[in-house]
Amino acid sequence: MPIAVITPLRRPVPSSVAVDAPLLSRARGGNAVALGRLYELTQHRVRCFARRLLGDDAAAEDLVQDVFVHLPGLLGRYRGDAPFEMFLLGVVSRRARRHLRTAMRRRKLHDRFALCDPASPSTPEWESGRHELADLLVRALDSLSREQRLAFVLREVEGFTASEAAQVAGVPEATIRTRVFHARRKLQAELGRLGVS
Amino acid sequence: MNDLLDRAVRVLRDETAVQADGAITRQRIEAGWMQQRVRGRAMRRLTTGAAVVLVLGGGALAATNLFVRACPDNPGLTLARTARPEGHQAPLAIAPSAPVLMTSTADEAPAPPVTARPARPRVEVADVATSAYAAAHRAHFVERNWSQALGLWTRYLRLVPGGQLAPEAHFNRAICLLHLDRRDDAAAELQSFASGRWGSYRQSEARQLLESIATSSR
Repeated sequence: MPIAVITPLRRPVPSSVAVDAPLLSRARGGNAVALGRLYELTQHRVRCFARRLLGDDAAAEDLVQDVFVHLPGLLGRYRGDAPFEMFLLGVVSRRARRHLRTAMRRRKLHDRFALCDPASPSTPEWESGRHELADLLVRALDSLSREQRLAFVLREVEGFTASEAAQVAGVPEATIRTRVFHARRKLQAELGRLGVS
Repeated sequence: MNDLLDRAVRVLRDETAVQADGAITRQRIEAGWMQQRVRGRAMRRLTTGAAVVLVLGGGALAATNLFVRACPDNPGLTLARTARPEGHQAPLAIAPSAPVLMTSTADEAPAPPVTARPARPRVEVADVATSAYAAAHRAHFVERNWSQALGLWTRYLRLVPGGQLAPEAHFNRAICLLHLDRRDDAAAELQSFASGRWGSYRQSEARQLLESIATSSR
């Protein structure tokens, strides 16, 4: 069991992705080289967010694929009034619905085969187990609605401000705050239900 | 509890920030772009073909109309000259069996030369593969009909055994086999992922599933 190394408590600053207008313009025209470059520049950011949102690496890869395959057709909607990263993460969050269902089904399938045993958090090893803690949080996230989950991941895990999270989710800032508040309460209750104290 | 939640959030953040290779995903994305280009080309051909048919058809109709007006006494043409209200244009009835000799005069609008046949979109192998993949995907992820999905994934793999989306099809096939409780077949399919035949794609997941199959059959 690995020893937990917890990073200091601070809100992370989301790394920004610099994408210039000529590159976007070429990618919009379907230029394969420009699309490839755009993928190189943004894939890490998209992949991280997809993993955090879905809690499943394989489903996250599918979501990354889904987003980038449809990106040439979606670039026409980007007007340039917000950072490209916000636009891209907005696309990810909108296309995540189906992949989230798949990820949740997959977790249930694993449970069916008794692969993951989430109800064993009382051992001392567990206290220091990082992976198990993350796994429990992912399972607790499954109890949230899709909107609450998105708001929580954007605000708490990604470290966006309420205004940035609102921009990505396409809802008012106050809605994000309310959703995060309710999400936190539900998650605490869910972690309690799983026997974590 | 608040502290625990914050800790869990930090752990999740750290665990998911690992730089991934993503090479297989990139290949799949590039295959997707390629398929889009193929579909776009087919659509353009179809649109061009339809436009050519419309233009040629319209031109031929106009020429026939002018010809009929220019030769009212042509025995091959039977004009419907029944009583009709004033201002009403009667439809032209053309006897199909009667021979019509086209003699071009200066007044006649020459029929447009029929040189180019309307282009018919070729059925590309990629199109067949794409539709096979889409059908399998729908059966698997939308209808969740595992036996049908299994057959369709197998069909897709027979069509394009070394296709860009073959790894995904193999993995989905394994999932169908699992749902149908054919564990040995599923294990055989998953083994190729666990052994790294497809790189890191689904490798850890395949290993986990193989472990669970082994555990459950003990």
